[in-house]
Amino acid sequence: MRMLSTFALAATAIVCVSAAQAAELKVAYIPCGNVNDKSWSENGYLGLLDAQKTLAASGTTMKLDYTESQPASKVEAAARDYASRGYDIIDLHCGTFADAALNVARAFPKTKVIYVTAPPETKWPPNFWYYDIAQQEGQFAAGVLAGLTTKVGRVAAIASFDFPAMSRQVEGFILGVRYANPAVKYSRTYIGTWDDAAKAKEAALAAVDAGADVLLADTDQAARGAFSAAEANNVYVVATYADQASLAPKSILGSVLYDYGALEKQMVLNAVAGKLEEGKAYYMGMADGFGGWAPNPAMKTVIPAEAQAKFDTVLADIKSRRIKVPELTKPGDADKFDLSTLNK
Amino acid sequence: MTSIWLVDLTFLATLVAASFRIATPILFAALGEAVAESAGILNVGIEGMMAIGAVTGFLVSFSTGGQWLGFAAAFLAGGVAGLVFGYVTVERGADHVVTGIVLNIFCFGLASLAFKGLFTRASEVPEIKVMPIWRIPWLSQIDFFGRALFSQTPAVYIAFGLVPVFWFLLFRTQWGLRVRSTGENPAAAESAGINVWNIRLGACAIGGAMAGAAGATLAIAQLGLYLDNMTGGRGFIALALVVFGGWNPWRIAGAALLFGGAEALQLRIQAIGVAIPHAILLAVPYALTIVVIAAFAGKASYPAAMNTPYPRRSAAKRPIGEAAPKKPYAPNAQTAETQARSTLEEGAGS
Repeated sequence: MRMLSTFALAATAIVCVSAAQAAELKVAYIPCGNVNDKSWSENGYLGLLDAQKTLAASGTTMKLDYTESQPASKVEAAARDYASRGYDIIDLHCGTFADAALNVARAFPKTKVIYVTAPPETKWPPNFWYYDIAQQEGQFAAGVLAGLTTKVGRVAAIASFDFPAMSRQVEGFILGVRYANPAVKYSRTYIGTWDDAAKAKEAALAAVDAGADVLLADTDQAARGAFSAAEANNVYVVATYADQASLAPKSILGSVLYDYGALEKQMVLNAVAGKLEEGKAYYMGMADGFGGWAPNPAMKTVIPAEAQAKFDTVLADIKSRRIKVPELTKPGDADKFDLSTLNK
Repeated sequence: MTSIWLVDLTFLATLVAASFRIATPILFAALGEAVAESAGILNVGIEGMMAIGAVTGFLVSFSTGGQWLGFAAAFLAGGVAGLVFGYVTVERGADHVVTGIVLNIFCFGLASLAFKGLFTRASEVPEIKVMPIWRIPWLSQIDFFGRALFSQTPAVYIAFGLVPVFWFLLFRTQWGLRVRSTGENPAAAESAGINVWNIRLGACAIGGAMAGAAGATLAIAQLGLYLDNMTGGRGFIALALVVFGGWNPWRIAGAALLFGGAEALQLRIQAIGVAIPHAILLAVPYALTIVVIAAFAGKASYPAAMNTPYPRRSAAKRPIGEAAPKKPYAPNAQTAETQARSTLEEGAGS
């Protein structure tokens, strides 16, 4: 299927190259998963579709192609293929594609390469930019809500992989829990997969067995398993990456949003306008207007009014930079972090 | 003191319950694969056949509302996928491993295509009801372990109930003897009057059908939904457990429970918040499987003819060019079958 779609893509691309005119802008999108995953990969794709619309309004045709769900080992070949066929912008929307992004940027100086999250190397070619969102901020607010909503005083975070862009979210969440109520107990579970919903469900059930009554589901489609466990056991769960309340309306407290799509749109528009500054890190937070919270309307009666009020205050404080949520990237960092330093 | 004891026992009970849940899909796939491998068929395509089972089970349950119908359809669809594998390897004589890998890729694509073809960007979220838990009367009332073992979905009971059935079929029936003879020495089996090709095709179908049931367990009994890549490598774990279990259903069930138990335990250790690095805990079930296989691999005696394509039917009847395999001297069928029986009886196990 994947191979088929790649072939199909290649075929259409060849047809288009022969027919294309110089004025057309060509953008390639390479996310981690599928562009209709209702999560990470779809989020970025929608942002690019948005950019396409904006550009069309100003008279520029933007051709958008994607290669989805490829392992990191195959991504460089796909990206080189796009670059050699004259694509102007290549957007690698997956935290494990850093090498591919940098290599392609070096090999094709005329192609603008944008990549999500900070790459491990600090020296970048001039046609390379990274964009990122301070994910710990939204998670901190969610942690506050979880810490105030738990009745038994125990919450559990379930996340995919123990790497910086993921663990900063979990540590942010736990920092929020501690900020809301230092007496609340918490745990972190890494399941080592984005897809395996049955495993996520078992992880959630293990957390429920351990006594937790509010969960964080910080993973891709595997989150469906955590929602299923929450529904079956009447516990609450915080969703991540997209507004997923419709997937489990009686269990999802709300969803932490990161607005990567909006940031990608801005990156593309700036790239077209030649406004991207060489060597600048586009690392955005709530104060810049990126990242937020999608409440679940069905939870109005569940979340205590006081908790809701405190949560709203925390969100406002992060937006006004009154609370600065640190980026903690190692599991356990949040345990010993001095909470008094949050307000500078 | 008593309270600590109670907590521990509750912890153990949830651990046992989770071990059985996690082991179930793997056990389904491994039991089927044990039959296939006993007949000399190495089907590395069961992961893909699980995906076929998951999508078929989900779609049929979704459109008819019948969970059991979905389960049965998944079983059949897996069986058909197994027969495709059988046709290519048994009738056309292709290499088992290559065919299995190709079939994995094909099955994943097909499952994804079937699902997306129906649901891409649908406004509704396709979900079905999860199979309800069956509490066995009286047994499920027993404190702790009774509750843990006998408050499960029917899929768990079926998988573990099939263990003695598969053992009986493989080691106590004429059919089982034929399957094992075919896996040990197809030429001798053929000379004893066994239709090697039909036996192998049947074994392929059973292997595929059980993989289909494994996929249906995930989709219908555990999650109530279909997702791409939801099988999560369970088919490959099943392949390893068949070797570790020495092609004996009882030992395979033990192996599946060991894996399930390790997984359930590591998730619980993480959930309790013990300060052990997550990466180590995540690796425990896999590392344990590797260690145990390494420890037992010396004792594992593979079916001698595993992954050896037997000449195609037509070629065997009317050899063209290439010589037919040398058949051992067998003055009459009776003697050959007796020989096969005596060599196999040693490996019959408990």
